[in-house]
Amino acid sequence: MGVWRSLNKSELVAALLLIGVGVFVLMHAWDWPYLTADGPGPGFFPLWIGICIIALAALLVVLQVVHTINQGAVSATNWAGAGRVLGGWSGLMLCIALLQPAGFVVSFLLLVMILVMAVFRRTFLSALIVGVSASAGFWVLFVKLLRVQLPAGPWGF
Amino acid sequence: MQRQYAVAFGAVLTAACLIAAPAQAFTPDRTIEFMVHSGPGAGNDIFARAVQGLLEKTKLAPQSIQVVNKTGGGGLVAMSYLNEKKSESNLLAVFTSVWFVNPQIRKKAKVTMQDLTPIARLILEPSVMTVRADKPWKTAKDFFDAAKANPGKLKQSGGSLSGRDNTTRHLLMKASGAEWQFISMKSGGERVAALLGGHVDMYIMEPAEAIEQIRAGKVRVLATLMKKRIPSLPNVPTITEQGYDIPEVPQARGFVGPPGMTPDVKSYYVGLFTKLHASPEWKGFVKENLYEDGFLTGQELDKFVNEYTQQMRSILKEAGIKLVR
Amino acid sequence: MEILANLMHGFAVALEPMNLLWCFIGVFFGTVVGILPGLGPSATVALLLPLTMQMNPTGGIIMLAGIYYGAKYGGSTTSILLNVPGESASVVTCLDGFEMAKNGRAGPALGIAAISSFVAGTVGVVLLMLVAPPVAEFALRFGPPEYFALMALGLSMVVLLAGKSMIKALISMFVGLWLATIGIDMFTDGERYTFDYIELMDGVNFVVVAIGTFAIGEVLANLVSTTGGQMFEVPKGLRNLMPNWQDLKDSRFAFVNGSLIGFFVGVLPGAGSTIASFVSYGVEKAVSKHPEKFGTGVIEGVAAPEAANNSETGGALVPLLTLGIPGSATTAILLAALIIWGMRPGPLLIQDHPEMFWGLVASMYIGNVMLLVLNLPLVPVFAQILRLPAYVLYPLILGVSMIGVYSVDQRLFDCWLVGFLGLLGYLMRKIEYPPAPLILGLVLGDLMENAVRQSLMMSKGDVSILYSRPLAAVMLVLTVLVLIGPMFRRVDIWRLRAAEQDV
Repeated sequence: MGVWRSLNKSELVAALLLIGVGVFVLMHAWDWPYLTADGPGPGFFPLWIGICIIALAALLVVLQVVHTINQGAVSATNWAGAGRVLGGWSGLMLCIALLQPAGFVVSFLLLVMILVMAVFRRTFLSALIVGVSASAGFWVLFVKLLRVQLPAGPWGF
Repeated sequence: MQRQYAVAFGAVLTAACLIAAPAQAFTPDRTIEFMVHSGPGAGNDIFARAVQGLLEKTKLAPQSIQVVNKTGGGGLVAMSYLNEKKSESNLLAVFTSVWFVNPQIRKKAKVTMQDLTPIARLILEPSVMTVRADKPWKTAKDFFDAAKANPGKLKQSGGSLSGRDNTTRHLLMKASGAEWQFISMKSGGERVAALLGGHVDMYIMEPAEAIEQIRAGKVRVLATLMKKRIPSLPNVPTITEQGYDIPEVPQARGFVGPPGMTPDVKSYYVGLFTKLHASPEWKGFVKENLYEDGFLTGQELDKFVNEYTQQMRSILKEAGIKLVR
Repeated sequence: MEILANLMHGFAVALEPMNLLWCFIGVFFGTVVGILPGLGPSATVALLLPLTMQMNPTGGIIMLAGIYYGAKYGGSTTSILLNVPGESASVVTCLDGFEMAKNGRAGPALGIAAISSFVAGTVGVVLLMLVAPPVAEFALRFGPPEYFALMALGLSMVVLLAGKSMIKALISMFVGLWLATIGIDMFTDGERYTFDYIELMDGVNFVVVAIGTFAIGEVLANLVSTTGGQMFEVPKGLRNLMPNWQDLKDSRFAFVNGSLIGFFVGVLPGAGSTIASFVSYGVEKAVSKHPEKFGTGVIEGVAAPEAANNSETGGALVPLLTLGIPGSATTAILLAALIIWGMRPGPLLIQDHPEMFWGLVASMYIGNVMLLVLNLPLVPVFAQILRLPAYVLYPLILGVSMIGVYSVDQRLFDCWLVGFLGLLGYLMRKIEYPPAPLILGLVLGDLMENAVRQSLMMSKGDVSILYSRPLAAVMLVLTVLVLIGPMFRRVDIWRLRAAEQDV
């Protein structure tokens, strides 16, 4: 029981997931020709890549268990930090989802506001200032001056 | 009474003509987009930009032109995109042979040239069979004999399996009874380097590349893979002259518009390219690049589209490429 | 000497006022394009191609070339300051460059990048001028087996990028190799791992992966412990914002190493500046007296890849100008431009058009000087960006990342992908999987697989083709040395410890 508690769970989960990835890669590679008349086929490389990933990840799992038995407990999770990361990432994904319907400028403004207010805990005013200047600045620099295409919403930008 | 009706009728008719007349003359009202299915620097991207440059130089374009790259799936993204822009009058795309081949070999490529509005075919790119100059082969037959003596040992560099290099190879192998290997390489530079470095024995080149290498004494052209001899290589016999009857497989380049193009828009663009084709700058461009003038519009172009599709179909089948439609 | 006479003639052409202007315009635009992530020199050169049709040829080629090598200068800026790789080759600069920025040494990092680019760019031109034809001939001897050996050497660099856990670095590399297989297989026209996504048919775009795992991953990782205030120290005073003499001394070997490796890799068609940067970084680390410090912010770790990156342009012009072979998209456009101007690229180009070649060479010397003068004063200015508090800087990084990714192909799919890859980048950092090997695998995987398959096709399955040819054999031996090298070091350290304990 003590061993289980002191296992670095995130490391273990990652290694197990990687074994899963390796299996996934391998399974699909199995469907393709391994060798053709001319030389290695499309299945050759992916097959070996899958095998290597599985082998290395499995090795990691073993080492994790051995290592933890020798080392002991692992530090506690930083929930506040993880929350910030989740908040930041969700904001980013929301922005990406809104790129097509609302255009870059508006979506990015939203992202900045979320980041500054929710993640960095600054005032609404700071968020607004940073957000508006950043999105407007990017728009002027990239769309107007450099003629780079950015997604535009129904309001033209 | 009748006279009044006649006058009224005449007035209405005149009015109708006056209203209808301006609608006949279309000119683009904003930036014209040339869509290209590859990234910057690829063959047809450069072609599109060259056409853009020539239209600007000859001042034939009333609006500015912009080349837009829509890459993906070897052309299928571009073709689908064009297909969606029905009746869009400021958008054209550059078509190449790939546009004919794709729908036949890729399930997801559902759009065909017949769905779109072909505007003009501008050039044909000939191809020639080249070997390194220090090899003993002087004619196509020499190469085929060497291949027959060592089946599968000689090598040809080229692009993808469904590309022109490989389909031509299958045609040559069938006509000569010889067999040799095909090594796919990603870029044109690698393919030529492979030939020059002696890693492969034969490469199918375009005349513009070949001319310079010949001048420097690095390569020798064994045969021209077209029906007629190429003006810049007058001493090189065609493959047919040498006794091997294969169909001509030119790489064609031209412009095509979205489906549902109205006649006045289409005739505007046809007129534009006709004027370009007549200009000395265009003729100079074709000459410098050693292209073949393949100007076709209207009904002849539609005929070509259908014939070429069929021709590619049978060639692909012969080459053993899987057809999905 | 004939070369000197030709060069003098070239300078006469390059110093004409109009040509100087075109040179300046070219390098200026190049730098701007280089600084912006995602937007590459090939797109810009392509954009300007129609314009050059109305220009005189010499001015035109001077300007287009200026954009090409100018862009290499700018690529390091966002890499060092924001951990956003501007283009593929700049990924390696991120490794130590961003660490230096974190240590308050952004100024010296940017400065050494500019200086190193100048030195290597100039060396590249010198080599182009002196040894182009024989080097081109030599490069022709590189066939698929030699490319394979080169890629193997490149991949062995993973050993040097490993950090604490070799296993994790290897896994990262294999995942990168797997990502490289996604797309249409050139040899069979079959699709691999595309799952009916049209957007994946051409493979996963490198810029998207690099920006996602490096830039966005870093931002997310920093959110864990940030307060929103100023992130890193930015020292005051010009002396602290520029490289000092010690920095220049430490980078001496990096200049040489990077210039030579970059030039030579550039000559090989299809190889690319990313490999050059990785290999020169690896070599620098391998011969360093303090290899364990690489990755924490050593100046040579910035100087070497930046040098390789820049002299690669000189190398890439070699096959173009001496054989008429374009090695990359940008050189393909230059080739088209030359044809349009009536100059046929081929082995006789330099003979037929000496004024164009020597004018170009001379203008490249001038251009590199212009770039140094343009970029160096900007260093203290750019370094001030890091004074911005995190709550301003991080959103900016995310914005630049999204714009950079979207500018590649104008696809929303890429933006979604970069969002998920950002999460992956964060997770990788959290459990200490290094992202650099993943990029290495992604870049080299394609080339290596192609090289292996081409080689085995050429030899009809006989594996010995991969090691029997002399050039390939030499590189493979080097690869083995790189792979087992660290073990010797460990043995040395054990011996030292054992010796210490006895005393």
